Amino acid sequence: MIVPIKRLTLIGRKADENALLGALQAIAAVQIIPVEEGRESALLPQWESRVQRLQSAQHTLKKYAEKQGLGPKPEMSATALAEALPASLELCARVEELERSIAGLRTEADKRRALIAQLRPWEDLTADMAQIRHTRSVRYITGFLPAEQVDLLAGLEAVVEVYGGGRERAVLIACLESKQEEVLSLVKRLNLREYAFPGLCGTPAANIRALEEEVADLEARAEALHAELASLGKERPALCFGQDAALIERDLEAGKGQTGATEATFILEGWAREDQRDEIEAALNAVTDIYYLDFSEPAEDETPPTVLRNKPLVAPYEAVTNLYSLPAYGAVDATPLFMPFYFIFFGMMLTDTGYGILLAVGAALFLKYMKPRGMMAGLAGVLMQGGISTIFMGLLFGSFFGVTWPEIFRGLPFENTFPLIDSSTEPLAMLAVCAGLGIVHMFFAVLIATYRCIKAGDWWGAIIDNFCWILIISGVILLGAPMLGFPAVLATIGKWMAILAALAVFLFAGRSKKNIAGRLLSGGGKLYDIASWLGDVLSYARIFALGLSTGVIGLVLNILCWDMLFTAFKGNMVMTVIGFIITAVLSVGIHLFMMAISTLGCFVHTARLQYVEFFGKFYESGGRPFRPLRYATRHSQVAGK
Amino acid sequence: MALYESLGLNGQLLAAAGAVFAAMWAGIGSAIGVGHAGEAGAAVIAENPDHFGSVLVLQLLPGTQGIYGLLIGFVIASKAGLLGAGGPELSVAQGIQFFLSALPIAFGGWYSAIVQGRTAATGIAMVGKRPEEAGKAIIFAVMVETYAVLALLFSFLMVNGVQV
Repeated sequence: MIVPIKRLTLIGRKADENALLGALQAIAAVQIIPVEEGRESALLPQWESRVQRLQSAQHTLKKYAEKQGLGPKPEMSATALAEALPASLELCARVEELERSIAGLRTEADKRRALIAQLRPWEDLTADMAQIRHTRSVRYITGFLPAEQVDLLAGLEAVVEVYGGGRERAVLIACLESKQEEVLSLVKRLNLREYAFPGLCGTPAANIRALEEEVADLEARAEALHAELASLGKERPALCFGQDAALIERDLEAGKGQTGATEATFILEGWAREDQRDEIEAALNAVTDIYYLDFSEPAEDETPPTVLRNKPLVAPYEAVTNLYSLPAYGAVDATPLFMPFYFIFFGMMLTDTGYGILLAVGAALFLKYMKPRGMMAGLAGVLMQGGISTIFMGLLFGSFFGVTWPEIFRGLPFENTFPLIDSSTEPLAMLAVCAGLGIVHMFFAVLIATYRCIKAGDWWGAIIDNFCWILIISGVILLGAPMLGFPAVLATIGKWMAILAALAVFLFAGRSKKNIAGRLLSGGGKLYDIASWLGDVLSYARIFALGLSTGVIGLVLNILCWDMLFTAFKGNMVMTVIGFIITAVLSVGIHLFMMAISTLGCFVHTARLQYVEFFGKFYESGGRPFRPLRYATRHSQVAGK
Repeated sequence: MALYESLGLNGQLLAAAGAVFAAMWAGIGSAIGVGHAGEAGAAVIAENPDHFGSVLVLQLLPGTQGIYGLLIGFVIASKAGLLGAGGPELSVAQGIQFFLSALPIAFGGWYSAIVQGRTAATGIAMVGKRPEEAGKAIIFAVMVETYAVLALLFSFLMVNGVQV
C-alpha cells in the first residue's frame, strides 16, 4: 500500500536548528521542501570540500589497505561516527601532505633528470662550463647539430669541437668576434639548434654525477614518504568513517539551506509519513520543547512523494515495482496484487527443483550474511521466494538438475506421477496452462481497473472500458467449451455474452464524442483491442518456452557431461576416477552458469509480464521517491545514537 | 525424388543441416550481440568499475539466443538420431520438416541477438550516466528477447510435431 503523507511545518529557534534537524535526520523522517529563496550557507562549501578531501584521501589509501572481505558494511553509532571525524581529518591532512611532498620530490627529480639528459651529449667536454663565455675577441657558439651535417663544419673559419653520438651532436664553436655574424649565419643554415649551458660550474660530467646523486637522494626520500603513506593504509577505515561523518554534516547543512528563516527562527516545510508522526514528535521533544509542529493534508495542487509499505512477505517485490516506476501518490500500489503471480510465474519459468533449492538457499545465505539494504535486499528476497516457488513448480512441470522425475523416482509407487505435465511431450497442454494463467492474470488486472473506476464514480468506464472485456474474452473461451466435452449450451451462452458485450463496447466506448458517426467509429476502433488481447495471451507462452529451455538445457548438459564425456573416460579404475572428477567439476560449473543465466532470464521475463500485460491495464506510474534528510553514509551503516 | 537422390540428399542430411543452422546462426547472432554490448560495457567500466554487476547482466542478455539455438539444434539432432549410431531412417520429407523447424530460431535468434546487443549497448551507456535506472535498461533489452523466445517456442513445437 501507499503510505499517507502529511505536509509538515516545523518552526523553532535558530539556536536549536542544528539539534532539531539532526534529530529528524537521525530518524530519516522528513523530506524538506526547499523554499524559493534558500539561505546561503557559508559552511556548506567547506563541508562539501571536506567530503571531497576525505573521499580522495581514502581513495588514495585504497591500494595500500587490506582487501575488504565480503560482508555487510560495519555498523557504527552516530556519535561514534561524529567522534571519528576530527581524527580522520588530521589523518586526511597527513595523507594530503605526504602526497604533496611525494609529488614535489618527484617533480624535483624529474627536473634534474631533464637536465642530465641535456648535459649527457657534453659529457666528454673537459672544460668548466662556467669558463666558456665570451672574451674580448673570442665568441663561443654552442648547440646541437644533426649528425649528418657535422662534416660540413670543416670549412668554417673557427675552432670546432664535436661531442657525443646519436642523431644530434653537441658542437662547441669558438671564433673571432669579427667572424661571429658570418659563422652564426652559416651554422644556422645547417640547422644548428642553439643551446646555452645552464648556469652551472664544473665540467658537464661532474655535474651529471652530482645531479644523479641528487636524483637518487630525492627518490629515496620520496620512497620513504611513500612507505609512510603505505603504512597509513591500515588506517583507511578511519578515513571512511570520517567521510561518512562529513557526509552527514554536509547533508544537514544543505538541509538547513533549504529552510526559511526569520531573525530568530527557522521554518521547515516538508513531507513526512503519517505513520512516523509520533516518532517525529518524540525525536523533537528529546531536543527541546520550544517549537511549533503542524501536520496538514497536502494541498490539491501538490504531489507528495510516494512511499510503499507492505507485509514482510510482499515487501521484497517492491524492488520489482521500483524497477518499473513508483505508483503516483493516491494511485494503487500494485506490489501485493502482482506478488502471487510473480511467485508462480517465476517458478514455472525456472522449473527445475535443483536450481530452485540452490537459488533459495543462496539468496537466504546472502540475506543473512551480507545484510543488503534497499534494492539488493528486495532482489535477494524475490529470488529466495522465486527459488521456493521453483522447487514446487519443478516437481509439477520440470526436472531436477536436468534429470527427469521418473528417473529419480524409479521403482517408487508414484514413479510416473511427476511431472504432472511434461512440456516436451505435451507442449500443447502446457501452453494451455500458461494461456489460462495469463487470462486469470489479465482478468485480475481488469477487475482492479473496474474497481478503481467504480470507486471514482465512473460507472461507464467501469463497465464499458473494463468489465465488458472480461465478458467478451470469457464468451470467446466458452465458445470452445463443447470441444472439451462440456454441454453445447455453454457455447450459446458464451456466444451471446461476447456479442452483447461487444455491442456495448461498440455503442458506448466513444461516448465522449458528440458526433454519432465519430462515436461509432471510435467504438469500432476500440473493438479492435481484441487483437491486443490475443497478443497478450500469446505473450504468456514465454512461461512455457523458458521453462522448456531450462529443462532441455539441463538435460543436454547431463548427456554431454555424463553420457559422452564420462563414458569416454571409462576404462580402467584410474581413468574412471579421473574422468569422474573432471566430469563432476565441469557439470557443476556449467549447471551453475546455466542456472545464473536462466535465473536472470526468469527474473526479467516475469517482471515483463507484470509491467506490460498486468500494469498496462490499470497502473498509474509517475510517483516521486521519498528522499528524506537522512544518514546517507557510504561506508558504514548507522545504528543507534 | 529422383532429383533429391541425384543430389545425394536424404532425410538425415537435411535434419543435420537444420540442427547446424539452428546452433550456428543463433550462435553467430549472440556472439555479435554480446560482443557489441561488451565493448560498450568496457567503456563504462573504465570510468566507473562499480557498475560491473549491472553492466554484466546487460551484456549477458543477448547471449541467450545462442543457447536457444543450441537447444533446438540438440533436440533435432537427438530426435533425428544424429548423435550416435542407429537412429531412425528418415524420409526426405521428414528431413525437410526438421530443416524448416530450425529456421525460426536460426534467423529469429540470429537477428534478435544482434539488435538486442545494440539495445543492451545503449542501455549500458545509460547505466554509465544513471546507474539507478539499470533496471529499465534491462527491461528494454528484454523486450527484444521476447521474439527470440517466441521463435524458440515455435521451432520447438515444429520439431516436436515431426513424426519419426
